Amino acid sequence: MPYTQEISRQNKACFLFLVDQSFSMTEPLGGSDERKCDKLVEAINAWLYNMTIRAASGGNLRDWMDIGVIGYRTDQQNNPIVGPILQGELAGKNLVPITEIEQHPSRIQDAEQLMPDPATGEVVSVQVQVPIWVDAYAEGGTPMCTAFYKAHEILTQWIADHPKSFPPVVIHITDGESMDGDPLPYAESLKELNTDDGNVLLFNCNLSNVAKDSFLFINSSELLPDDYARTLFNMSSVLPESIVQRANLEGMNLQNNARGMVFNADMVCLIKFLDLGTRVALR
Amino acid sequence: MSATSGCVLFLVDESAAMSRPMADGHPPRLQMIATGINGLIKSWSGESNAAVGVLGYHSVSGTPEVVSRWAGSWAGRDLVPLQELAASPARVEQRVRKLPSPNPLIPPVEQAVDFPVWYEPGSPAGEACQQAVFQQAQQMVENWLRDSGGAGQAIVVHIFSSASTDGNPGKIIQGILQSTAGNCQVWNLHLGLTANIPPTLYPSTKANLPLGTATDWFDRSSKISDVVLAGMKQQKLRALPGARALICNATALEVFQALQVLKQATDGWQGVALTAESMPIVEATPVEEAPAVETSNLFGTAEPVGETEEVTVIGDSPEQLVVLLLDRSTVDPYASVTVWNKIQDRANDLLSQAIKAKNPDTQIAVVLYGGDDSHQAEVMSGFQGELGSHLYANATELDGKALRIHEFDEEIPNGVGGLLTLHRQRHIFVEVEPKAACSPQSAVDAVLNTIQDWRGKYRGAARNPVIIHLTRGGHAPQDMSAWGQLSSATLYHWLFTECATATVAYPDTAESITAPELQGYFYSASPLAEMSARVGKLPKLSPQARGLVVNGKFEFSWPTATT
Repeated sequence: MPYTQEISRQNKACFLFLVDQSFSMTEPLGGSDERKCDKLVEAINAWLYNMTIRAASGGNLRDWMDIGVIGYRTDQQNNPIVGPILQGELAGKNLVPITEIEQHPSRIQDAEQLMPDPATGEVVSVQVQVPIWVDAYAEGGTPMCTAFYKAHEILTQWIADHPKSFPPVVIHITDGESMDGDPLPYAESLKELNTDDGNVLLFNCNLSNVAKDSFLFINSSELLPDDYARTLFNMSSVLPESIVQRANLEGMNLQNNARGMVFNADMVCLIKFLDLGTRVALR
Repeated sequence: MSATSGCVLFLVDESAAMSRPMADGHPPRLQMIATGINGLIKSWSGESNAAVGVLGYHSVSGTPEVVSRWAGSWAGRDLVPLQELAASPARVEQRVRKLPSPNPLIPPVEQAVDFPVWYEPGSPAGEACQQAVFQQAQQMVENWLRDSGGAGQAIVVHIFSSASTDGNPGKIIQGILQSTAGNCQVWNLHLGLTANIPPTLYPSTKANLPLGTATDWFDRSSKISDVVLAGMKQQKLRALPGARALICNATALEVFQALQVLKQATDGWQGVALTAESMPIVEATPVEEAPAVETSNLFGTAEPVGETEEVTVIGDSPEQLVVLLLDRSTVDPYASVTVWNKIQDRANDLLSQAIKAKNPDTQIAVVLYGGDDSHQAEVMSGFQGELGSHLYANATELDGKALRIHEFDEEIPNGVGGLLTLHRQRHIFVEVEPKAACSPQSAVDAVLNTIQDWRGKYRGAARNPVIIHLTRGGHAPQDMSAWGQLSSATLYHWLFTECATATVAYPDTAESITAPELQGYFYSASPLAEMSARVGKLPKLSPQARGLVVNGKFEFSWPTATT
């Protein structure tokens, strides 16, 4: 059965984020005042922090996954700029072991966290310190096809080095339309890459400025608001049975043939979306 | 701005499920809700003088209890102006608030706080009688609005975790909204089981909502006003125009945030002095008797529906799939007692018996179907609660994963003319409201998908899947052909009619069924001979007997691990 490989130091996992950094990401998320690019990096930094905590659990830092964060945009001459966007010591690296991620955040930043106070019933705001690896940036257009090409290149090499591993998971976060062609064939080509344990999984997270309710893992594109969202739906992998089982164990009500796509997911949904795929992989 | 007369009435679920922790692991749900409401009353003081009431509700052994939960000198009052409450809490508790340090290596900072208490919940037990509590709420709110001279506004805030067990409350809630001419809102705050289920927060459309609680409660929740929406935006709570006052699968943080939104919605409200007439005495609402069901039996013995005996199922390979296909439809889904109660009980009995059989080779699936108010089919495949929407699970996986366990006493004949009282347990896996009628086609598709999935996983399984269809039997003649699509499996129909109809068990001709409208089920029911191993335990049956029972006991039991 595919997608069942245990993840370990010997059989590492690979998570590759493809991050839309086009200018439109400065627009607010539908129904919100917050910029899409800020929500996006907030989610990625939170996920990376979560992964480092889990890698460090049990006293030893476990080198069990490689992570890449690839941004894509264009310059003023419309030339694609596609490359790694981890900051600080990790700058310029396509894929980085989790152990290095843990040791090299670019900085520690104060952040506000809302918590319920079980003593008084109030919502209290507390200051916490969080590590930062990725900063928000947005300019130019959306060379999505080039980004998928780059991902294909990175993962081809990784798969050659890790043929028995759980297949790489690509998490593509964008607000819409590709500006360098139809991304579907590129996405299909990426999904055809495979390890012995299955094909590459492509998840799409659509951050739209269309004011619609958020939702996760739908199995039909019928109610999506525009063609961009429908394209992302068609690009997304059908969730494999092991992921569906894991999600259903957690109490989600996934329908048959649900796809790895979320729409206008807020911070909570986005983190859960990222965490869900990861925990499946880390069984 | 002129002052608005206002009243807020909390309806708090006190069923057994409220003793469980909040989804994010915080203290038991009812305790957290009490803290949230008392905290809100404290923060309201001086800013609003709305009248406030808190009704706790649950039913034990089918008897609903809806009680005002004010403590101390406020006990027995229903709607009390906030200014009066603020002047005299029932008691003041010394509590310790723990604020996390920015550095996780430094212990939390502890602060002693005085916490006034006015509302004290009852002990969580039993089930959730939502019809009873909304009936009570309707009476209180209508009286209050009348006394306010038509200028008042009311908000009913329903906080719950369990599904209604005394019928679908939808019609009563619509009645509240209509009879109060827009002056009353209904807010619904549903508490989640685990933080891993993404919450549904303030949806503005039913499209793409997860089936189940969120879909059911969308139409029962009022739209949030534009003024309140603007305030929510300032709090960075995302809610779109048309958003409903509804949160589902909420954690403690989301409930407390919703209570802050409520405070904002009631800013500036003034209370109205209540006349004695407007303060109804809260009494338990009697339960209607279940419709009588004919229990005469073709085999000559009247048997209570439900308890079954050991019966084996044929097959060479141990793996088998049993699908419980449950028809949620009733003629009046808003009645307090419907045939769905009976079907749901029988389904839960079957699942409880599956656990007893402890057979890891039997996979069990549950598919529920029913129509919305426009008779569009809503189909749910899988389990509620901890098993999520597992398409199927075996008995071992089911054990300990019920939503709750219902304990009750049952009287059965002792064989010598008397009655014997047995204490029984029913594992509740299915607990949803009744629905309207709909075509069964979507449900049939869902069953076929489940079987296809199972066959893909258990390719060597020799035993044919068994489908037990529990229904009231109200399908239109043109819909009966849908059952033919399940012919690759063994299909049994177990009917519980809403009108008195003679019992029939395992008929060998369609004409044996006296109700003509039910005869169509005969043709799609599989021959009983497919359960050859169990025939010996039944009275002598014709070889042509079909797996169909009307208003009787279906002798199905689960293969044990050793069979």
